Amino acid sequence: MKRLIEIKVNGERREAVVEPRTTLQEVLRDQLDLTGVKEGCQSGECGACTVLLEGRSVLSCLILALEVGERPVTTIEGLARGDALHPLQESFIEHGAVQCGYCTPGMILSAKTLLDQNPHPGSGEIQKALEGNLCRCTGYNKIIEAVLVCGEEQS
Amino acid sequence: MKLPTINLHQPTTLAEALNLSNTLGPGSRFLAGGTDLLARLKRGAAKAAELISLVHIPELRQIRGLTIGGGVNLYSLLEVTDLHRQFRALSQAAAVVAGPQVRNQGTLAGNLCQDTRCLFFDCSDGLARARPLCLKRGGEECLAVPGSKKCFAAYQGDTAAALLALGAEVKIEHLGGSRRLALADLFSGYGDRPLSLAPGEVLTQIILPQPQSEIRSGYRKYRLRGGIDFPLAGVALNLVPPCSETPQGEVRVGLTGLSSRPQLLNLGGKASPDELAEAVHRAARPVDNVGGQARHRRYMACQMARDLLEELRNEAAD
Ligand SMILES: Cc1cc2nc3c(=O)[nH]c(=O)nc-3n(C[C@H](O)[C@H](O)[C@H](O)COP(=O)(O)OP(=O)(O)OC[C@H]3O[C@@H](n4cnc5c(N)ncnc54)[C@H](O)[C@@H]3O)c2cc1C
Ligand code: FES
Ligand code: FES
Repeated sequence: MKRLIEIKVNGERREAVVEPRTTLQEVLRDQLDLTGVKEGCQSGECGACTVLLEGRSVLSCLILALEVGERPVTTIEGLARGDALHPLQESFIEHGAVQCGYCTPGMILSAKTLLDQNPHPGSGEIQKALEGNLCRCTGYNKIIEAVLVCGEEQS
Repeated sequence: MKLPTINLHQPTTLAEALNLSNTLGPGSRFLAGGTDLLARLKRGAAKAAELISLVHIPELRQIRGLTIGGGVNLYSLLEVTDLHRQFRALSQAAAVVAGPQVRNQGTLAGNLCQDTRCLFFDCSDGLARARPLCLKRGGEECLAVPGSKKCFAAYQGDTAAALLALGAEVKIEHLGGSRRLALADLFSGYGDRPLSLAPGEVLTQIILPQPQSEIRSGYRKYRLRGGIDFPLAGVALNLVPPCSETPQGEVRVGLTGLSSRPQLLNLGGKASPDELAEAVHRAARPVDNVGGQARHRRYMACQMARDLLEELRNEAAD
């Protein structure tokens, strides 16, 4: 049975029509056009679908849309302020941490979860925080560098 | 990969959840963080038409002293002050479950109650149907141990090994009653139905024992990659200091990934690293069903146990 729900995404209340089996990933991509939420393995293994739920990284492919309730969701589209990119986005561009870009939204949101809690992490901490996000292109070094420098610049 | 059609129920009290489960019957399943169950439903490695969410029940998310609600997620568990100092095996095990996103979502009860795994069972539906079905998917025999009528799927939860070594208990509630069990009794030992829970029973609390003055415990995990992967072998140790009942003390060992249940071994407090490795070698009976070679998983379990024992003893001597 389909139901009309409201989800708080990127600071706005948005409406969507969902079935009980609809995942948060499907709502965000297919109904709300937030296609920065990527579709990878769909079973929790790649991190491409990472979004923030109440400020912490989660896998939107393994959350039912109906379960979100009043909890705020942030996708990569919610990070920039107008034309100003988020410092992590700037740092990823500057350090060449993006190649095909498929893992990038998830990487940045996982990195944001880390920096919000630990603004100046070391590379070991960054590596641990990004463990749940796979990248098939960059070899990870530039991604870690981008987060490291972003952390340092915030000081 | 879409989920099959389901109905979702979202009770806000435990009583309501237990009532619902009673009404809906055995075709229903409880849903917590969903990181095990939803992935399995997508792969056809679990069946449920009715899901009863435990996410909106505040009492399951409480931590009171040494009692941890089943619905506490692994991230919140790791934030508990003194967890690492008093129950290091648990904090080390919880910290290496999957990756950060799964720990933010996944709960402690969900981690304990996760289903067993096997390459022949827990694969995509298409792959499973491309060959004869394995026992756990309804076929005639186990494909990992051809000819066997017993399922050998491996239990690969990390926190169970730590909680067994630490001597944790669990509270199970059902409509009209509750029972408290040693954690070891939560597990049946059968690969095809690894839990001893009856339909409609909820694991509501995990109860840690009162910490002793000197607690030395730890967890080691062998997996192919440093992140995301399940344990191919996991070993927790807890060195229990001497007391009147056990004047020599005890070495409590929790094993995971090596059989269809997490295992608990008790050795005397003076056990040597070689004796410990020998005991682990005898207990661990992995088969080639979850990646890595069974022989190597067994070898790694013995090595990790030996190293961890030496490390914990050296720490005590410092
Ligand atoms: C990519 C990936 C990697 C993973 N790696 C690991 C790993 O390294 N180590 C590891 O241990 N696990 C791992 N997991 C498995 C799983 O995600 C975790 O074990 C997690 O803690 C499960 O918790 P959950 O709340 O998401 O469980 P759910 O998926 O919601 O539930 C799991 C099972 O437990 C039952 N259940 C849940 N709560 C209760 C309750 N209170 N009472 C009774 N039954 C209940 C459900 O009915 C279901 O059968 C991994 C999962 C993924 C997707
Ligand atoms: S698409 Fe969700 S983890 Fe891969
Ligand atoms: S940039 Fe291509 S997957 Fe990471």
